[in-house]
Amino acid sequence: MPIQYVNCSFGYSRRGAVLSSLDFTFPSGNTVLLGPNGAGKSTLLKIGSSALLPRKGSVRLGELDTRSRRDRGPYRRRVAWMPQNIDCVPGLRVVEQVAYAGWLKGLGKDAAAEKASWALAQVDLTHQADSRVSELSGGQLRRVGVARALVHDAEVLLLDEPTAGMDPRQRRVFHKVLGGLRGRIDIVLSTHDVADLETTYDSVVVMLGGRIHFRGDVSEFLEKAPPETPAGRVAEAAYHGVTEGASPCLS
Amino acid sequence: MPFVTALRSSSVVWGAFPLFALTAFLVVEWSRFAEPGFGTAVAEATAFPVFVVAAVCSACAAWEGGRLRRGGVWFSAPVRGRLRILVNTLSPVLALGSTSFAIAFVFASSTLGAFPAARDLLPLASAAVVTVSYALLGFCVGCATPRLIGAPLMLIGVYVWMTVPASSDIMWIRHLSGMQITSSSVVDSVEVTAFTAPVVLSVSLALAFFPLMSGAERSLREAGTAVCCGVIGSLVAWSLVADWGPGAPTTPRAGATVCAESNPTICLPGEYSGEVPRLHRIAGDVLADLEAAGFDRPHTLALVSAESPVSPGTWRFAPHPEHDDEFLRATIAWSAIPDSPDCFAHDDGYVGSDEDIRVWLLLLTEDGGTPGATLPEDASTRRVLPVLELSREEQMEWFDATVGALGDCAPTPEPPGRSA
Repeated sequence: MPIQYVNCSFGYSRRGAVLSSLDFTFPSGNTVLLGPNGAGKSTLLKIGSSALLPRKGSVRLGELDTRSRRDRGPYRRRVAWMPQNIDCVPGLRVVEQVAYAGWLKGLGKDAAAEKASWALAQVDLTHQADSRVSELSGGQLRRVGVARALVHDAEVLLLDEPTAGMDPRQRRVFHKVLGGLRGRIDIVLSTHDVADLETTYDSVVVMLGGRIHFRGDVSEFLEKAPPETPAGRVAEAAYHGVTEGASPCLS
Repeated sequence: MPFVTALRSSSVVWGAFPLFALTAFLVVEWSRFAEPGFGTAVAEATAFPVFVVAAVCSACAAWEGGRLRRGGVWFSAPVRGRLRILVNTLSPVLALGSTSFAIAFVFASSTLGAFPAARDLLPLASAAVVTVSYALLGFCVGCATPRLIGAPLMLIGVYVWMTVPASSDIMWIRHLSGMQITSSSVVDSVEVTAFTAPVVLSVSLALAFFPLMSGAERSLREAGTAVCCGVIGSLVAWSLVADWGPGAPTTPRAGATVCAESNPTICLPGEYSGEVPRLHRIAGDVLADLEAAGFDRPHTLALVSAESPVSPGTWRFAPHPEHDDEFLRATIAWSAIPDSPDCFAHDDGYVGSDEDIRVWLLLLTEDGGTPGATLPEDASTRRVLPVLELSREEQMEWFDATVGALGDCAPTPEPPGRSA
């Protein structure tokens, strides 16, 4: 079931609006969210996770509305979110970080511990389960973030630049994880990395200046590339094709 | 997170053993001056280290709040409610506080050789609530500040708040910090308000800071409600103690006195009942001397609260198990002086004194030998010795005149032998 933004406005201060009267529904399946820095991708995902609440309008998942206190718990249970910055609770080991995230998302203590081991296995971090977070590399830390998002059985997974800082091998592992989840849950992933677009994602959303500038399936998106584009650069050229001439800021 | 994980990863493990050692030391020191065998004193001794327990718990809670802040927990869209997360995070801190008070209780109970009754536990309950409140306050502050600022801030802040007002010239503030500055005695109990006022203040302060601990749920209405709780709670707490003096008010301890029927009947708090045979023996001698001097023999000697009225024929006295026989003789002799108002409280320049009649009573009840032989050869003794040479009636007249003057806050008469 996709996340729906209804007439949604948000700003970090009273003056500046990051999102303004946004009406939009994420497509089902695996969706990649593209856009330049400052386009509002992270804000859109934070609001989608209910970590932030819109100043106006609402965010819905089926009948659940994040503005309602009663709905917020069930909503959050069904939506997982990995933020751009992976903040970890100091003093906890890797497996405890993931289990704690599961507990925060409503799992019982035993279930959280069990699912934490499973989630670490999914991101190929089982061997680091008892390490301290400070001993991990940047890429490994992002995989901990992914494991924390996977630990509870969410219906929608929102991932904010999960592959930033990962080496090519780790990216392959990550895309394999996403491939394994395909069809089971809806995934929205924001990134600047447009490689493997055809094999990993079903839809593409491009944000510019706090607005949805493009929304369509991957083949529609790739058609935006000029015909003479070399085979390995099609996605990148399509992105430039979509964003060319558009204003980067919200007016 | 499971309790063991929370405990292992928390700041509590650093602070626990120093706190336990300090708690035990403070309780043993306090107990040296407390009433042995007195259950209320055990509860008060247990509550005494609250100023360090609350400060350390508050600092640990601030550290734990800072860990959640660093871990971005409030902005991770948790399903668990804030209270559930708070209880889970603070469980090691609550365990630290509980264990500290348990250690304090064991040391107090074994040092004083008593066990408090349920009604005596009010000081301990108050200390526990104050500790939890300041821990909650520390946690909220920790959620809004870096750990290296929040934890020392709460450690020093709570310690200073709980200790400095005890010596402040502003009397009402002494009674709000949570540090219990007035102790119960075997005849008087500290009023319940002395324990509830700091609880009201600390709980309302904790509620006032509650909105600091939140993520997306923070709202203006919540912040307004919290500030109102803080202001109203503080005003209520202040109004409870606004007109108090340096000590908290006391009330006579209910059901404390046990009377041993004989001649005279001796009424003592239950804790002193072992002293009855010794007091009977000494009272027999002393009262015979006083009867010979012209006093009517009392039917009862009673150790009761100064605020409890006594019937005619009952003399108040103030014995203590640690007094030797000589001091008990004096205590019983002085029981012949009836109650009088505290004249110095109304008039700093009051010139009256009961010193001369006290010396005279000691001379009357001296245990044989030359009059004054057992007393120090000071001005007072020299002044009163000539009184003994007067007739019994003249001596009693002077005693009654002195007692009457004390009762009216009038200047007391000079000993008659000297003026003659």
